[in-house]
Amino acid sequence: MTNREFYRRTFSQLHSSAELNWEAFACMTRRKARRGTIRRAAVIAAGVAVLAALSTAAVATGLFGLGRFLMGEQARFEVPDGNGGMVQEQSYAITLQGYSDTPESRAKAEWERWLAGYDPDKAILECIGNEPVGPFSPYDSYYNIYTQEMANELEEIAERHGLNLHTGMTLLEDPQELFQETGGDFLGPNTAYTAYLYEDGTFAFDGEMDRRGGDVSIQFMRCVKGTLTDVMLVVGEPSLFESWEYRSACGIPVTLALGPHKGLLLAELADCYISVNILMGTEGEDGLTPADLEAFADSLDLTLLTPVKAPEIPDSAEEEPSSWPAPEEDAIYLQTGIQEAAAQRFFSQFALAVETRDVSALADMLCLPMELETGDGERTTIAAEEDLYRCFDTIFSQQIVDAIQQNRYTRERADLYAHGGMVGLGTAGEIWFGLAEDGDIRVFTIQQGDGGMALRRSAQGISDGPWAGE
Amino acid sequence: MERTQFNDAVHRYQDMVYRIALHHHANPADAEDAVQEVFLRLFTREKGFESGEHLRRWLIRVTVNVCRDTLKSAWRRNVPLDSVGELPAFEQPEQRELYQAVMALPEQDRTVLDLFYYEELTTKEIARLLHIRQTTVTTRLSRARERLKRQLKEAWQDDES
Repeated sequence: MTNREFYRRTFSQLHSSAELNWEAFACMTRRKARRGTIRRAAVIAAGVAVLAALSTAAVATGLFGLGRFLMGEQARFEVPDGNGGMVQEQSYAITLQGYSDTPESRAKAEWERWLAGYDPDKAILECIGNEPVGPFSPYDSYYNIYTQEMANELEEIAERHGLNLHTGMTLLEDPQELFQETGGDFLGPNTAYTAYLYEDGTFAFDGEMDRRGGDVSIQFMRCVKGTLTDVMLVVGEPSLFESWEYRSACGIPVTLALGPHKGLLLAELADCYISVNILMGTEGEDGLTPADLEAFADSLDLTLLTPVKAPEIPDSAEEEPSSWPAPEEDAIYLQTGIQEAAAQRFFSQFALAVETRDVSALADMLCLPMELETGDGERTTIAAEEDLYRCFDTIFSQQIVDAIQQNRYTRERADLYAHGGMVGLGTAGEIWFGLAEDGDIRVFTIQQGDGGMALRRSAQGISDGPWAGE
Repeated sequence: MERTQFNDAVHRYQDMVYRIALHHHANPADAEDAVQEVFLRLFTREKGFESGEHLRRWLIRVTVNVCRDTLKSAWRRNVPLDSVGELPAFEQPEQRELYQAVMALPEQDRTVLDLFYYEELTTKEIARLLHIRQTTVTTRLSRARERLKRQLKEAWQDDES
């Protein structure tokens, strides 16, 4: 029996157990489309500044209940227009971080006031366009920061109010993962979709309230005290809301509010604030009633949401940004076998190791042994960490360091290109790296453009880099 | 894709997709996830295929891409044997040994083995599919064969031409 026959007879005994058929996929794609719509709402809710109301109910008057949460006077907000677009409307908003006089709410209000006067016509933003900018701070992506001035102002506001800023976030696709991060299943019969979980335990998700007569969409948020979360909820002109205090079945007192088009559940726990935006109100034949809202409050076990336990969030530098190209469009991958995201990650680590003179890390990243040749023709073999330590400044000359620094867009993204099966950086091809024989990414060539220094893999394989002789 | 065609493709190629994914992940659960994803992409594909072979090659390529997408780290090492999970049942003990030996190989070697020995692609076709050099395919095949030979001894013959 040949090796091929042996192989085939062995592996032909392995079978997939998944039950796949056209009907199952048709059902799956319908569910995915529905979750996608709600997930877009989650992006609006958890992404940056405003949780938009589905409608802006007219009516108002000062409400003792809801009034304690109002964030000052009316302001202009973008709200969905019901046709997939956004429109600016004058409206009130409530804080989701306790009453309006908490440090978190005051900081948020101050940030909003400052933003209203900064780049009001979006001239700066339009100038930047879609080009990657920054980083200006570790918090950029959680506060929609696109200039250093914004980063500085946000940090000052946070410091003035004694607050931290968010530095990490992860997506939890499975509600069970969220329950593991809290005290358990706090939702009861209600449903959660994808959740956004921040480094301090703040989280938000879209879901559905279990209700006789049909589920109702909700947006659920827990904001941890001590951190400024860039979120508030537009409620229109607040006074068509009836609001009242209610002690839920789990013993936690909550503020309930019900208007023609939305309902609200707000609570303050020892170390966090809970808010639920219910995307249905009293209007219509099947409108919500106060009893529905109270039943919803009773179905939750809010005691499981405190004390807050900070989750382990992976370093944001380890996560692939959503802007990476798909494999079939990834030019670097198509030419080198290395996905751009992986190449960028490797290069970020390499650049950091050079910057911090981490010789040990660099030794792992180079394809040793390598031959070092200086401008005056002197040759040295770099076979181990000690050799690299001795020759560090010769190899990582100012020219090489400049090539690394000047060709980076951000901390996470450099101007990499592919040629001859390798990934390159620098206008003169100063750095080349690729897949070594063991499948790991390693640097094969470091060379100055003026011919002053060159470090190349010894003997076999790559020598001068793919541009040699061009 | 039309219902009959899709169900026929599932019937013909589900195990092929599973095998490729299993070689990539060395983990049946991850392989099953990949199977779901691959056939979902087939289900949502709007363009048709020129032939059965065209469909088969497309499925192989998409499976490889889907498996690669799930690998987040550039520093992924061999999957330790004890993390492979419960072993499937085989008719003969040497088949079980071959499975274990293959699953203990580095991931890039496993994939090349499956595409070469089971799917009967040439090294040139494998190189094009995986976007690597043909010499790299040959190197990985040689290395994998040597390791299988050392581990399986007489059960694995000398290199074929």
